[in-house]
Amino acid sequence: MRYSYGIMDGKKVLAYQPHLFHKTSDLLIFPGKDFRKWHSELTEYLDGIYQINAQGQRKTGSVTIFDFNLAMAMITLINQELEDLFNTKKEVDISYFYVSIMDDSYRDFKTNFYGRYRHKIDRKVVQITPELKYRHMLEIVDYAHKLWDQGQNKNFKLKIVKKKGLK
Amino acid sequence: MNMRLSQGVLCGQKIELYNPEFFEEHEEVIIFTREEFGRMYQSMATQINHLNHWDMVLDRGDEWNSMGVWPKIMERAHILTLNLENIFSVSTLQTYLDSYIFDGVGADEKAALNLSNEVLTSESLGVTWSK
Repeated sequence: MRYSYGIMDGKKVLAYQPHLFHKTSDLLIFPGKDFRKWHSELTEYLDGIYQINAQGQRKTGSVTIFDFNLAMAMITLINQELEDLFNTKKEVDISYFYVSIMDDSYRDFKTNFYGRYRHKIDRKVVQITPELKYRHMLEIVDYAHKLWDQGQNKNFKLKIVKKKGLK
Repeated sequence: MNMRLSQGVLCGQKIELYNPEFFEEHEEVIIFTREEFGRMYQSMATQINHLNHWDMVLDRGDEWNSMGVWPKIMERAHILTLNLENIFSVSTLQTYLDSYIFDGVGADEKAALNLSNEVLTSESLGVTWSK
């Protein structure tokens, strides 16, 4: 986005980079300090959402309704900030500025793809019958045979766990 | 201190303001083009509306439902971040194009209408907040 800083000079603004703008283009002028404050507040709220995300994933691998409600609170605050940008009666508190020091890796979203494949996964839930159990067991046996076969070629041994009671 | 802003036009090296009384002498200001700022603002408003939609449709009774909605929320949060970072960067965004196509028709009329009004609102940038 094209932007330039400037300084008030009488009733006009002296722009530092006036060559960025066309003669005919409409311009919006904000006080620099207030705008940076607005920007920093939005950044703070968004970082909050990323932190909720990271926290939820570290604990259980997924988020809870509580996390969800917290995130929606952040969204509501962002919404409020966006609305208040043009509200001339809004008080701006410039006593502190938020500077994001959050690591970029927190912003990477590690998904379990449940959201994307939700419909496919939920649809494939089948009832477990004795026949299905038997087929499943045979699959395991097949897999064991396969491993056994590979093991013979590569001198590979299946790890057999001995039960404690048996000697 | 209140949030202040003004529209303006370039006039030679200097910029003439519509509401110079809001600003103090020798105050530092930041200048955007209305068109680009409007696109950014509109894209952010769209993301917020999507997020509110997901909030409304989510059934809080079943916790497993939130698993499916959460990635979508993070997706929108990511676009919000991109928009915010875009303000102080030179590169353009894909959402620029999306909101531009959406808002293409009649945008000039709105801008022309607003020139007569003195106070700038979010509605004049083409965004209507649902209350």
